[in-house]
Amino acid sequence: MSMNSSDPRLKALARMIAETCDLELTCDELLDRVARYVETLKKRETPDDTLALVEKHLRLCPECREELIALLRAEGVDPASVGISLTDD
Amino acid sequence: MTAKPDLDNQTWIEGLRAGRPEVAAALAHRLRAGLTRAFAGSNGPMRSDIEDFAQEATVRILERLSAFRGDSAFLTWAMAIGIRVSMTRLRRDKRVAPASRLEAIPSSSKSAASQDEHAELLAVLADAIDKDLTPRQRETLLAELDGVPQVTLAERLGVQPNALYKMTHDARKKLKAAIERAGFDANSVRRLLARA
Ligand SMILES: [Zn+2]
Repeated sequence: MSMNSSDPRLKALARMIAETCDLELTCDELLDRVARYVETLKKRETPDDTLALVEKHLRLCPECREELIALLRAEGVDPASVGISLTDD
Repeated sequence: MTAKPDLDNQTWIEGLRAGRPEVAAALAHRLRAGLTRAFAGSNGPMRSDIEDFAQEATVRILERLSAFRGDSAFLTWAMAIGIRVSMTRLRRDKRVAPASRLEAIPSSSKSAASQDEHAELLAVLADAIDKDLTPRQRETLLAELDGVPQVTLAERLGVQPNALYKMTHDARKKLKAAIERAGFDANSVRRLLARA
């Protein structure tokens, strides 16, 4: 069953592939690192290099992005005020 | 009971490790408050759900204490676990809309030349999905793109979520190699998919 090239999933996948690297965090690894990311956002600081893998995972994984938004709300931060939305643009 | 906002990381961890009930109760209290803020205005969880999620999260946090890296406030880390526990339950029970990958894709309007290139990229990709992936990888990756929650997929396949992530990561790496063989690198893909 070959996919039709107008299938919107293909574009979504192509975009994910552009972000794909050999070294990626799993959702579980993200979970133990996202707190520091949230604190960085809260302080309006620029994420350092060690958070690059966190940001990459968040671009690839809509579920973790959704959880980040909920976590910001739990922490009393409006996600939009720190530039975070469900889409990553 | 009253919140204890000023406990430091060490006090939280030592108290939880020692099984002090007032520390566990303070944690559950903070989790309930955070989850209530997180889900305020959404039509997902009720107050009784939040009570339930906070209890389950407290257990998970205790199991996971040794994974705390100490690079953030303990409560922020704990709250992340509270959110994960809650969202996993809501997704498993189909009580939240799937986190779609498709919405993240901007529409584009491009020159004729780049439209051709764009069409070629997608054709190469469709072909690689057919030829380079195992049936299991293909099925899993497409289901994820359709918004099937990872927890549902992992249960369907009888694997841990980490194993699921590795499976789809391997699949993406195979597809990346295939489009690179056809002359598309990450930058050209980004350029072709970029907003006009
Ligand atoms: Zn994730």
